[in-house]
Amino acid sequence: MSKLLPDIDDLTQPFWDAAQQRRLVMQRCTDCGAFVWHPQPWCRACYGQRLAWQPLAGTGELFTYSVVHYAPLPGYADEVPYVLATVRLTEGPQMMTNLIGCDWREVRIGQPLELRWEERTGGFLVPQFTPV
Amino acid sequence: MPVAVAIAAVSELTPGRYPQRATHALYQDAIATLLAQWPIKPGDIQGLLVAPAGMADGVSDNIFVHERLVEELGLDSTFAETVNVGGSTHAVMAIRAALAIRAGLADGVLCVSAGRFPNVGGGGAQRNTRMFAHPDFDSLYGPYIPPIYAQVATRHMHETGIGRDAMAAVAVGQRAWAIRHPQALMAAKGPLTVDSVLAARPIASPFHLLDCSVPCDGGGAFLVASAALARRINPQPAWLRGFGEVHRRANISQLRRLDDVGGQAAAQAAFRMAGLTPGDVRLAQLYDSFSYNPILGVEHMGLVPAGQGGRFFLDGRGAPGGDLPVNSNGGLLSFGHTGDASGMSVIAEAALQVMGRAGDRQVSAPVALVHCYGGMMSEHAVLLLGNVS
Repeated sequence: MSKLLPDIDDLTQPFWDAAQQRRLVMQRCTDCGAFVWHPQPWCRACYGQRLAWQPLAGTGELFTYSVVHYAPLPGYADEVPYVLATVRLTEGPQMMTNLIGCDWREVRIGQPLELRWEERTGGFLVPQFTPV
Repeated sequence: MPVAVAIAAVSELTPGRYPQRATHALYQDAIATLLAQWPIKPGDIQGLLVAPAGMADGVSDNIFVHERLVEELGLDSTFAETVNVGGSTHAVMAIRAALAIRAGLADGVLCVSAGRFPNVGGGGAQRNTRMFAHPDFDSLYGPYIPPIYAQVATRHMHETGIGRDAMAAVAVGQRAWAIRHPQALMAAKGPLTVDSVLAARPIASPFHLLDCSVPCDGGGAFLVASAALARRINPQPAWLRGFGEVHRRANISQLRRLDDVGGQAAAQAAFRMAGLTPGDVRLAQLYDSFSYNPILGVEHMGLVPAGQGGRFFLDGRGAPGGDLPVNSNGGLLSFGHTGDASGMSVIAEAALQVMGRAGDRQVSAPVALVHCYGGMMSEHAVLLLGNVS
């Protein structure tokens, strides 16, 4: 069994289309400028509904994490111990991610992170992060 | 001055595994136990609130359980519903019941729960992964309940310097309480030490096995009643002095500050309603899906200053003999985590203590605080129970 893939609908298609081109994008309100994550039809700050997909730098810092030693699903069992993490992006929003390409013993809050692309079943690309 | 309302009666099933009992039979057992222990008569119950069972193992066909129980109780009910607010369901049921009584809709409202909680990786693992984290985005990274809460603990440890020994002290203290409770699931396992908790196998850092609540089956029931009905059923009911409720956020990835997760505002609302302060609290029942959460709980409820939660438990203040008992039934860590029914035990213990019916673990608890959260710290409900109205 492989890792989970997202369900994709009209709202989230632009995010995943960009991801397949190795570009990280996020909705931003054209009225008030607030970023919106996860994707949704309105801005949480002003309830405006004119949201545009904006490219992000793909950088940030580690807000928090957990080193997972016991996998919930078979698709993740080969990865243990893996790092489940929350990255605070340079632009401000936070995303859940894994930290990949690093030693889990050396992970520390506040460390700078940068974007990586993980290839899953069928070549589908999923955003991930790694310490700089 | 609002109408006085109390938890007049309470019962609990012994946490364990009940493969020979259908889930609906557990609801019936909880009600039968309540009716056997308290002088509740037909006509005393006009309202019914029921928590759905089966969410944890991916079966949610119990959303009409209230209809079946209304019939079985022979009620001509003014309101009845199945309520799901995650781990805060039971505290929210107490609030809904109190509001209904104060609105004149009912004199007595029965709150019932049954739960089954399979081990992690059981039947509903994939469903749960998509339910407890954003289904299309966060779920891709392999979250489940322990590492989600663990991220909260990791951040708080970073901000305060609290270590795993303080978490272990929570588990040790609660096991000591459980040993005094004849129904507690882990009582027979004997005491824990800080070293034994630290040495258990890792699950999701900073949580090791004994930092995690113990899944089991069980349930319970309580009756919320108007003053006259409560006094008729119980000479010392647990008066609902104040309550507060906050719903704020679904996904832990969107948590930005630990000093404002919602529990704080819920507690402040409850204290305002009751005309009490954190200094009045003599017992705290703090929903403890993991050992770290009571550390956050004593801080968020205002019982200790921010950053002092770890010290509180290392000093044994919440353990037997301490000045502010916490989770005197052993908590979800050692009494047992009954899945959809888990919040029931948190309230039942506070009520029993205030009623003076807590047996060998009885403490002086003129005012007890209950804090339950649901989801991934998504919603918070706080109750203040007192021995006077």
